[in-house]
Amino acid sequence: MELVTLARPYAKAAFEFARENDHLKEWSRALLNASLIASDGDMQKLFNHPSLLPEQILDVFLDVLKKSKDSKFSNFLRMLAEYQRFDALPEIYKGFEALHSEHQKLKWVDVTSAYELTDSEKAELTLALEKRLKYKVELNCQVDSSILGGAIIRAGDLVIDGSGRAQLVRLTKFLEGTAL
Amino acid sequence: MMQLTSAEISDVIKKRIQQFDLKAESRTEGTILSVEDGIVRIHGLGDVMQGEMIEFPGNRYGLALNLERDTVGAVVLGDYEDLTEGEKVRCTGRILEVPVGEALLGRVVDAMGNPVDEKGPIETKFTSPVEKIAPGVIYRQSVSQPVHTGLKAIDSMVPVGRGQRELIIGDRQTGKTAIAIDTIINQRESGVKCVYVAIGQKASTIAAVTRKLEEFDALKHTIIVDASAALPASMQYLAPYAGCSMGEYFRDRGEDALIIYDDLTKHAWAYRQISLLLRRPPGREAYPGDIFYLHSRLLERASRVGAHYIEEITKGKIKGKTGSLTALPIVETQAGDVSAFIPTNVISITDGQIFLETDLFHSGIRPAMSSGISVSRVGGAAQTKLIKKLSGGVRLSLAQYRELEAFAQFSSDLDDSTKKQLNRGERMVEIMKQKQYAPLNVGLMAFSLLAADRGYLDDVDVSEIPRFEKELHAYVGLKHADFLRSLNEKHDYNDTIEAEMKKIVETFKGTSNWKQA
Repeated sequence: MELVTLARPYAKAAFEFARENDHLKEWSRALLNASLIASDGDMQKLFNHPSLLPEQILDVFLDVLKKSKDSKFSNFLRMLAEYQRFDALPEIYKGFEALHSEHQKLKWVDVTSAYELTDSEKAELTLALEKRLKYKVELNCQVDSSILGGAIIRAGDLVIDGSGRAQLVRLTKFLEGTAL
Repeated sequence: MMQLTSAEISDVIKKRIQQFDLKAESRTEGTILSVEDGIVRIHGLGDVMQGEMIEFPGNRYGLALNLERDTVGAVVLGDYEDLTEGEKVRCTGRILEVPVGEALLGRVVDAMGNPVDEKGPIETKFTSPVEKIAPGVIYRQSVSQPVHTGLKAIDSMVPVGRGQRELIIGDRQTGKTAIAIDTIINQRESGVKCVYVAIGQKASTIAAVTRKLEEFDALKHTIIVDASAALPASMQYLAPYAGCSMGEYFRDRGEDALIIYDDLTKHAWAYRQISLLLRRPPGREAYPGDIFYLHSRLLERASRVGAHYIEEITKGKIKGKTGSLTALPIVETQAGDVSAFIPTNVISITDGQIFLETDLFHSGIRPAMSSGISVSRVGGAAQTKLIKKLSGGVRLSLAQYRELEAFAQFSSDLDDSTKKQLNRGERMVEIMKQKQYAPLNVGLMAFSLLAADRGYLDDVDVSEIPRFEKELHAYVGLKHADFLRSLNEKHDYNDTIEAEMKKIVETFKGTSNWKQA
């Protein structure tokens, strides 16, 4: 089974608990930390170590986390230890964040452009995207001169590719007659 | 020297540039999670459709087959060895299409319609989706015209009509493909366009078939779809649907087409492989649950359609013509077991079957058709008057012969009528034999059937029958060419024609040609 599938119930439970107790920010931060630790190579070796008991792994985990102050979060980690699902932590964090932005009606959009976007361009782009996606949009801008011109916009699965490079590739295929 | 292709003419390039649309493309992307045996699991692709084409890096495509909650399972159409985890794939929003049209005739193409015969690119502007819904009942017309296979045994006992689906079933090495190839060869003059889909066969076999068709001048009206055993299972799975779309092109333009699926057992194997790798639950013989639908939806597309359907499809360009797509699926059995899963499925889908038996084949009866269990459920209505009248007694005398065969060894104790029946049956079996690559036209076939049915062979020694037939055909072709031509054109039969035919056979029996030996 995919990790995403395994992570879903945990992410959903964590999110609902945090929302009900109004601890969304704290849980988000705690999950981020935990997922960073879980993605560490040495830690991963530990998860699958045959001679370690789940409780021992949990202890190591809490140690590294500098003893989580939130006892509820420790409970959450204990659950993960019990079912040996530490390796799903990065996916749990992603799932949690997805639910979080859904809750806030917010979407993070990656924009790759050939040159630095001006503030007015950013504002215009944000407005256009908000209209299209029907969400509040936060831009995450990057510059990559190899795309030649235009921009590539990524919002989750959706990719709007208006880059010069993509258009040249399409033109090549079109002229070769291999375009769809 | 580097050569320019026809697509590089300035005007063509100019026109293309004019058509090119410079809009930013918006597509859904996903990431490859795993690649195993041609099956790719993808994360993302939020709005992918079942059966949609997916674009992989390196100008490769795949087919989305499993849409699960978090992942999409897809098959790669082509090489998959260099795809790696983490690579980006994209939705195309389109169902897989293959090129169709007249330009494909005489060509060997793969399951995607790409030429593999090194005869250059295929210049056609038509494409068609590989998966299509078969024409509905309103658009259909009953089968009323025959597809002549040119084989006496088949055309007389299990006639195939245009738009019919007739299964050719038998063990390995019983001459299944031979029947299909002879049928294609016999369509040289009939105007029926042929599609031969080779699924999971040896590449050498496909090459041999292509060469034979070329040798008999039958490649010019044939498209060969090559999905040999060397190709990935996805291509083998796709090939019959692609071939069917190529055949449908002719059907939908008021022409007649014939498609041969050689063979559907291997097609089912390819689909089973894909399904198991996609982790779909296995059922009987480890085939997935929708294995029946796999073949039924394919064979339903073979049909005879009415003129109004063609008028609708061609938007009024072609009027008053009916079209047909006849299917001859082939299924290989193991040790004659027709009750295995795939044979029973396909038998129940088709409108009859030609059953080939190993014993018959080895005793020299070729085509090795078992006349007792081979049937054609709709073909009778499509038989020409000429063949119908002359072949009425064939099945009966063969059945009587089979029943009495056991007594044949006590021939001295038998009464006269039994002896006569045995005598007739023995000659009937002999006349039904036919060499490969030698399909007969209707006229000559009629003479053979008349000679056997009206007792002209009763005084001919069994071992002499092949020579008798050969000499008779030569005689008719030489001395009565006009009469033969009219038989071939009109396919008509009445008392005058019968009398004329009888006279010809009687005169032939008196000629020196026959008597000499």
